[in-house]
Amino acid sequence: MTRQLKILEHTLASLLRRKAKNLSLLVVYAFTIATLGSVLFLTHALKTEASDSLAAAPELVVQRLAAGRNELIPVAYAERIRALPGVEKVTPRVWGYYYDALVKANFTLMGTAGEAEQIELLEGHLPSNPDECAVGSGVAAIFGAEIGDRLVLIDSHEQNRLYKISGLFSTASSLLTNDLILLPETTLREFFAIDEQRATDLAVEIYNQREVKTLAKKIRFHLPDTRPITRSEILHTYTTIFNWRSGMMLAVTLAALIAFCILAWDKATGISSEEKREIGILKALGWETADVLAIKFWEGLAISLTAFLLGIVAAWLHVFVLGAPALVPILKGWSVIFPDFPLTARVDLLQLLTLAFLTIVPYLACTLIPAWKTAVTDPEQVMRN
Amino acid sequence: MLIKAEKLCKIYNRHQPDEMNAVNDVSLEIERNEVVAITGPSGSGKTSLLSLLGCMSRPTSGRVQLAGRTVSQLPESFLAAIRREHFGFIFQHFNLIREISVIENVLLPLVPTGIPMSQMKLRGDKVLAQLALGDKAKVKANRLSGGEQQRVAIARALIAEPQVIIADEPTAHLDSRLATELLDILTVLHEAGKTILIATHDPYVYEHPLISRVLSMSDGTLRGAVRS
Amino acid sequence: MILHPGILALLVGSLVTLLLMLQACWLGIQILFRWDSSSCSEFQLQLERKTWLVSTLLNYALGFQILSGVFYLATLEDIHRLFVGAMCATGALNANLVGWLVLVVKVILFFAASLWVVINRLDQRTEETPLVRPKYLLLLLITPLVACDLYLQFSYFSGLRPEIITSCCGSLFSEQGESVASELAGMPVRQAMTMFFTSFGVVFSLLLACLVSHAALLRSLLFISAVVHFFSALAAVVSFISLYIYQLPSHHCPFDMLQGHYAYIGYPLYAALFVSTLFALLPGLCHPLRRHPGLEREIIRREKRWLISALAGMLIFLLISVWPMLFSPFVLLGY
Repeated sequence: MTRQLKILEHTLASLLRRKAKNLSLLVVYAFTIATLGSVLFLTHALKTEASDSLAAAPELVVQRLAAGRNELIPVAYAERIRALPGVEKVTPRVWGYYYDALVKANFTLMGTAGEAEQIELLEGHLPSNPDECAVGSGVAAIFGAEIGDRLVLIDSHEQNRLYKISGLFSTASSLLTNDLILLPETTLREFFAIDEQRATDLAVEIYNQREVKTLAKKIRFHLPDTRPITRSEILHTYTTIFNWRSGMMLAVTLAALIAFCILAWDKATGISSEEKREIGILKALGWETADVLAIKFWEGLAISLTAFLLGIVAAWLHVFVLGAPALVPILKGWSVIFPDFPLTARVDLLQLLTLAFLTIVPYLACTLIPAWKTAVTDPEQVMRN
Repeated sequence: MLIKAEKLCKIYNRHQPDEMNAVNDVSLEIERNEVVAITGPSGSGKTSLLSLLGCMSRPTSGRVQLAGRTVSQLPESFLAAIRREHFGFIFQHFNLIREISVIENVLLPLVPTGIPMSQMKLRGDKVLAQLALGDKAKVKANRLSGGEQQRVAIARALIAEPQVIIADEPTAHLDSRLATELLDILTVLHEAGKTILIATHDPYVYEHPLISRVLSMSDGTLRGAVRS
Repeated sequence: MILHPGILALLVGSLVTLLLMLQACWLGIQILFRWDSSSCSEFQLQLERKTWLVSTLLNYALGFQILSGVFYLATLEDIHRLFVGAMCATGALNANLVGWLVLVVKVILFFAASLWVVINRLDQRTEETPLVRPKYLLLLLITPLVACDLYLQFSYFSGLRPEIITSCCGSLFSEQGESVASELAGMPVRQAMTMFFTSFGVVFSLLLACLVSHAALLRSLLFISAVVHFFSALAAVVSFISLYIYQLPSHHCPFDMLQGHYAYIGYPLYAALFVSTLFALLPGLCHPLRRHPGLEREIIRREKRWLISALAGMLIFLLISVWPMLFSPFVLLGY
């Protein structure tokens, strides 16, 4: 124990002595970690953001399919679903997408009824008369609008419509409200020209969560043209998509990792004659091969941990302070909007473990053989110069 | 009998065109507290013999006994432990690590041992005081004069309290004043009971009254005692 | 195939470990065929130096393997969300039964590699290194296990089908249909408790007995009882220790306790079990090696430390598992 501690002390001292030599390696190492770390942090933050926003979503959503495509669902279906035992409440929802040619962005337009009323973090109030609306912070930012301003939208009859902004969703709220424009339901029906008998989908509340699956089956049995989707399924889909994206990104950045490993190998192989002489002296003075291997192990660990720390701090700053400018275009890319939407800084243990495993293990493995080559330096060479 | 060598041979690059018989059939015995000088022209195999006797390398054939224990066939890790515990080396070029302090240099042989740091420091201070280096402890080795460097090298050889001191051409890079100083230190060590082995071709050393036996080497073989 | 960062990292880690092992194996074969401890040749010296490379490779591989075991469980905890009905890592394992096999291989690898490292240490501390050949034969056996680990991990992860919404209907009507069962059924509590405390008592007293006596029989008994205790302790975790930790009468998952929600209590619990089992196996395993006088000296020197480590591990395991039984308001027996 004492022996290892003393060897560790010796190693750290000699690393500090040679810091200039290790600096370039450290920078590249930290950069590699920062790159991989940014990908992990960003996707993880987006994933949590998405799943958090779904927490308020209804347990079960029923859509209608026609020819394999989404269709408007008859409001009458709501009554038939409500009649099933175990169903607490069925709310027809009206919502849709709107592309604004002027600002070149997609928005989500939603009628206030049912779930929209649960949205919190509002400044101002929800639309209370037919020409009022509430908008997400992304929308407000893109139009440069504030509460009391008027929003011009073009409806499905090519008519300009003016809505007064009565409320604003605060910046701290999540992905879902960012591109949201909330309108009274009747106003939205006029806007999209959806008749009273139809809705976009039905939100179903259920008494007992365990019955979700059974109810979904029943709904599909009674109404064969519908597609019931449970909240957990949406969650799985989101999670899978984000995992897939970050996995892909990681796979791409693995190339960087390999390049780094080659550099590490090269650095470790080409030790300076000064260092070689030093190891020779140590061996002549009675250091065993195992002791020199221990030096090399501590050295690798010290460099790795330093680079790891620097790398994750850099990744943190890049993702959560700067908003991941280098990655957002690739990873978010599912909609044109999203000005700057702030990510909630969240990192869990698994992210760090993954990152450590992906970077430190290959590094240590790469430097192992060169370390051994140094460690078996013949002590006798010190006697002849 | 402290060190006994029987029919030692050391062949470098065996079965290759540049094969070299550095040590050839050397047998010798060294008693405790003896001071033995090995002389001979450069390339005669003095250094190779010292490295065999000092457990730096293993003989191609023959064997070395240290205090009755055969050490020449041991795995390298055991040889390292023996070097650490039984031998103190003073190299021709001192071989100090230039960028670290005197005390750190001196303590190097004790790092891979179970001796606690505090005790190591005490021992280091003692040895440095003995060699009049007490005030230089924190000075980096590359700031020292040649004589001081030599004394640091001796301090490092003494730190593990070895029985045997091995010095390879210790006066090769010293002027006569420093050479005298070195021999004075060696005399003190001899009086303290150490066994000393010196390889040298400097008559000033091997004609010194301290030396109890002089062995002459050429072409890897021992030509017998010049003086005893 | 699920492309999850954790999975990617696991596969990379296993691949690296396999490469290390292959390298070690290649050197091992050279050493097996050419080793001649009586030779003083330069070649023998090179071989001797290569043994250091092999032991370093193995030390690193063992370290990576332990990390990857922990990491495997952490990843399972994370991906269970992808499966309908999966409550914890058990659900993720049940989604593709190969996952359990991976776990078994990892446990075997842990013990095999640790054993190798211990024997290697012993051997390197003796002047004659009598175990060179057996060591490198064992190495040739471990390497296929590492390859097996990588292969099984790959087939486990590539066999996983995450449940996503398909264009025709929600996933619950896709062919996988029923949700994966996410619970393990535990043994009846009383039976499991009796078994656990009995085997614990036996191993504990054997450990104490070995501390005072040098009898070979005690060590063989200790070996057998430690193996039995390992399984009985695992059964106990599933059967009742988990229930006390979660304070739920029906949640038998042996992995949830590795989560932060339960203060990561599972890590010290399992670490104590694995370490105590390993150290309890060593005296029995090493006893036949005492034929070599050099090894005997080393074994005697270390055995006390092994026994004490095993005792400490057992006590930690007992403490963690019994603590909630005594001090939590949860009552399992008597209902």
